[in-house]
Amino acid sequence: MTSTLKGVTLKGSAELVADFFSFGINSILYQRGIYPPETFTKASHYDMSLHITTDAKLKNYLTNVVSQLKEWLFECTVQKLVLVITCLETNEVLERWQFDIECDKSAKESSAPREKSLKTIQDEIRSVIRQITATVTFLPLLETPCAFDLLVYTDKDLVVPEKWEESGPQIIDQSEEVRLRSFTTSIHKVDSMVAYKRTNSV
Amino acid sequence: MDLEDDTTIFKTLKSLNTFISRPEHPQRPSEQLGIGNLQSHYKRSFEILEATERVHSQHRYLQLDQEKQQMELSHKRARFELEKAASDSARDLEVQKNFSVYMQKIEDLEKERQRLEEQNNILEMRLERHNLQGDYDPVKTQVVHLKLNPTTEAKQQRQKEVEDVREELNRLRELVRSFQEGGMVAQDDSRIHTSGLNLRKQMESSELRNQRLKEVFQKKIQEFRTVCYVLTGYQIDITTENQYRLTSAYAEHMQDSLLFKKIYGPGSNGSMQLMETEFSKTLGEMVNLHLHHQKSIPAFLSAVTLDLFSRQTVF
Repeated sequence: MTSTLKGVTLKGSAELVADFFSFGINSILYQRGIYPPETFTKASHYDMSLHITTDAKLKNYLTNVVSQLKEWLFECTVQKLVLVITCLETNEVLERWQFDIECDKSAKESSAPREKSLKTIQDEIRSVIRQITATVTFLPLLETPCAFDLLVYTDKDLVVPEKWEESGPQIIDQSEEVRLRSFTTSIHKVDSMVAYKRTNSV
Repeated sequence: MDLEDDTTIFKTLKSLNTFISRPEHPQRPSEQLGIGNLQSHYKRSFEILEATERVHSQHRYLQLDQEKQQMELSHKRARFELEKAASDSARDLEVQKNFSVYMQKIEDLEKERQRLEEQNNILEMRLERHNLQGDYDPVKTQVVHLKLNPTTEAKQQRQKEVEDVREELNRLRELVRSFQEGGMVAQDDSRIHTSGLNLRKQMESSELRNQRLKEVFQKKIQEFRTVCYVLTGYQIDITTENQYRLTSAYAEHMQDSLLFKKIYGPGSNGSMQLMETEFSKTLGEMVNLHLHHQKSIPAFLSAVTLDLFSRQTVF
């Protein structure tokens, strides 16, 4: 990791945020039961125990997305990352985990590292992941087979890479929204939120 | 006129004064003169009274006149002030009119501002909600995803499953139709089909069992050979059918081995015979003693073991 106690550089910040997404997405997929629990293994990160997939195909997919994301974070051209959970029986979007990313573009000009300790940032990230874990208590149960997709909101002028394509925003029809905690590396600020389909049973 | 009045008052006062001071002296003569004087006395007092009355009214008149003048003056002053005030207030009125217009305007603007603020709040809340739901400005933002993603794959997989199921359904429909048309033939057909399936299943499971057993045997055999080698000091290999090669743990050369052959025939039911090898040629004495005389292969093998072992530990 390029970020040391001295502060955070743009490159280090992009890596920190990309790592957060990698662990965050794994946690959501485990918590929401999108993949069977036995396909996950425990790993220690941010001073906490996290579930990481062992499914080779899924791993490969996540690596592809996150490494591309890291590039975009470094270029400050990414605005949002969204994890969309779709019901396979009805093709309905049931859940949207949205991470709004604010990039301080001035970091592209001046390479001076920002004064924020890695520990403080990791503490903030840990609270966000804890909150993601805690949301299971109020999110509606996913009773049908579901699959997920990762959407990236980028600046309009960004050239779409070869293996990527434009997509719709996959908005939920009639949703409830909950804002979660934020964290910032002082270069990238990440706001987390989850929207889920309102159930009529209540 | 004032001066004239003043002189009249003075004159009157003077005459009154002289009149009053006069009878002091003739009081005594009046007593002396008697009733004849009383009449003139009365007349005089009447005159005095009349004069006093005159002075009083004169004075009263003067007072009233003065008051009148004062009143006229204050009236004049009041009128002047009133006129001045009137012109002032006319100017004030204009200012005041403008002022109230401005006040009204400020009030209206304040109301408008409040309305806009509320509207702005509502719009911001809506915008926030839209953002939370994932909406975006297509002028500034585009949404992209990997072409090959889990949802697309899962949907394709499901599509394939649906097609497979549909195909199976069509096949079964066909089968039912032929059954209804052909009766027994179709029934036999399907029975053969199912029994064939069952047999294949059985075969598969027995194959699997076989495989498992093989694995277990392999393990056990290896274990057995190791134990034999450790306990007896000989490694036993099967070279060809009914031939066994023994290699001592203490052999000086790799190729130093003993070859035994199993003999079948009358009187020699499964007995072993030593075959000649380069190594066995060097063991003439032991072969003679243990095999030819004592007829004991274990004794022979033990002797060989001891011999090789002693050779190893000589130095």
